[in-house]
Amino acid sequence: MTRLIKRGAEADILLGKWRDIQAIFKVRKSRKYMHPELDDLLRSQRTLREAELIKEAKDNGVRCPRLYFVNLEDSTIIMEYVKGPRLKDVSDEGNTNLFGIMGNMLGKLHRSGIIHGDPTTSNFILYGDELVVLDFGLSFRSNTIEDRAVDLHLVKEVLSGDDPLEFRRKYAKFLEGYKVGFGTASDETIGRVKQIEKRGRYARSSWGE
Amino acid sequence: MKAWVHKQKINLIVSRVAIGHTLATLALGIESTAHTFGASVMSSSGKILSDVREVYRGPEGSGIHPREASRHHSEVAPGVLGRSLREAKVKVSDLGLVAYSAGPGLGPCLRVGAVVARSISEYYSKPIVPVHHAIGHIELGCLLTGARDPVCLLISGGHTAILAEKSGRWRFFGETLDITIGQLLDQFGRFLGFGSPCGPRIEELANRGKKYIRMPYTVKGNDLSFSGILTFSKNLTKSERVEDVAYSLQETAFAMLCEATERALAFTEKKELLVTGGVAANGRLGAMLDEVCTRQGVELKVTPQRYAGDCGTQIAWAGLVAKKSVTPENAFVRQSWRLDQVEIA
Repeated sequence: MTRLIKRGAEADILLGKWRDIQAIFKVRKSRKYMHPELDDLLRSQRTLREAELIKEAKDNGVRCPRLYFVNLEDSTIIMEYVKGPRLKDVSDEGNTNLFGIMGNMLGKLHRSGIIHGDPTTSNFILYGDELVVLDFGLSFRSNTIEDRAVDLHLVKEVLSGDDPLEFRRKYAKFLEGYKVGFGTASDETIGRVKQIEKRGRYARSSWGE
Repeated sequence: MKAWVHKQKINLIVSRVAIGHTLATLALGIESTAHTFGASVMSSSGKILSDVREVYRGPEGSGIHPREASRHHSEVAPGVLGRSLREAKVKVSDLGLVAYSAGPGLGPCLRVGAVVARSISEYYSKPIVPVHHAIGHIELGCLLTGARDPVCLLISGGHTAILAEKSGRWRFFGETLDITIGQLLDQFGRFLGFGSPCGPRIEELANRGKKYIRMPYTVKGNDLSFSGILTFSKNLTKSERVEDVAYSLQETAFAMLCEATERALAFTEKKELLVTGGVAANGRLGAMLDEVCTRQGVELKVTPQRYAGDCGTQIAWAGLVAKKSVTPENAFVRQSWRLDQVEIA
């Protein structure tokens, strides 16, 4: 028995049983609007890469869902069910420093040569008292400043949906955590974010600056 | 210059004229961002009274030359303006406001529209409203399709962005990191020797393509990069049929757009997708977006083709919606003006 819990753009997320354990089935369904060849390629490539990177992230001490089974035939990953609210919906009032932890996790990923690719606040789940990072569907391996900075830029974009004061506070916390997670050479990456923004179409000036 | 609009004295417009039995404001909208010089009269009730435009066309194989385009605009401006007023059957004195496209766009072209708008504003003492060109696309799209709170896919030569309104501004939920989808089609078309805009010609070629060739597929988070496809396609024409290259280019670039759009729909959980901008005319992309909307349970709203491209109407309507006028000496143009810097009502 499986039940659809989220129809994402990338994949359907189903909740079901895998050998008596509640588990998440991430199924990359065919996208009929794409050319079949491109669709097949993207699906199997992304499924395999996602599974590999989840394992690597775990090996490097980043909390992400545990892998149970990968089936390339139907582009399915079966993994741990992480139940909890999305960081997007959680208030971080008090001294929980959730955005600092988020930064720390992303920093660790980057240090291990993994770029998340979609580090939105929807992809961080508060599971009990720990933060779990989900969805390595767009992740890839890289050790370049540019790729790391694009990841940070995406975080910044998501956070800037908030009002300016909140944005500044959250982003500052995030960077604090990131610096700890990544280590000493993080300043160069953070500096590159501004360059990326300027390179964007039409001079950007987000509220944070 | 930053956030210059807000520094100006903001006057709310109250001048209204009687049309029939209802009170409505009439606006003249002037568009001159790129290849089109357009003038349109619109009423605040949402009625389009006239829409006149002249499009600059460069020689085959070349794009828009800013100087030549601005020369074209200044030559056609008086005629377009006159026809627009005559077709609407109004006099300048009936107008409640003059709106002009203040950016982003080609400087020399923008200035033509601004000069026309300032002259009318100054001579007839009419309020003048600077309008962000892309906001014009979106606002007119919302009016004509009845979209209320959509995710907006803006695809043209100047923009490729996925937007949604949040806290009084249009926010980016994805955009191009380099060239726009319109530029991709145009630059590849020009490489093949066509004249801009090349979209329809590429589509025609692509319809005759059969073989799919893998191309660089670049989606970073929800941002897109098309420059790799352009270089790749140009090189590919040496060894493959142009039809197949055009076909693969469309399939790849549109798949990227659709994927990013679908993700934005899933993320924002909005129920409408508004598609606007010149590239909205592409049939293949339309079919693909239709499928995206079915998958996400979202209503697809496409701006009617006549008003999806650049026109004075989009400027007139955005001017009526914004109603923030400036003094003529402060009616500047901005070649680079980001959409998310504009406060919307």
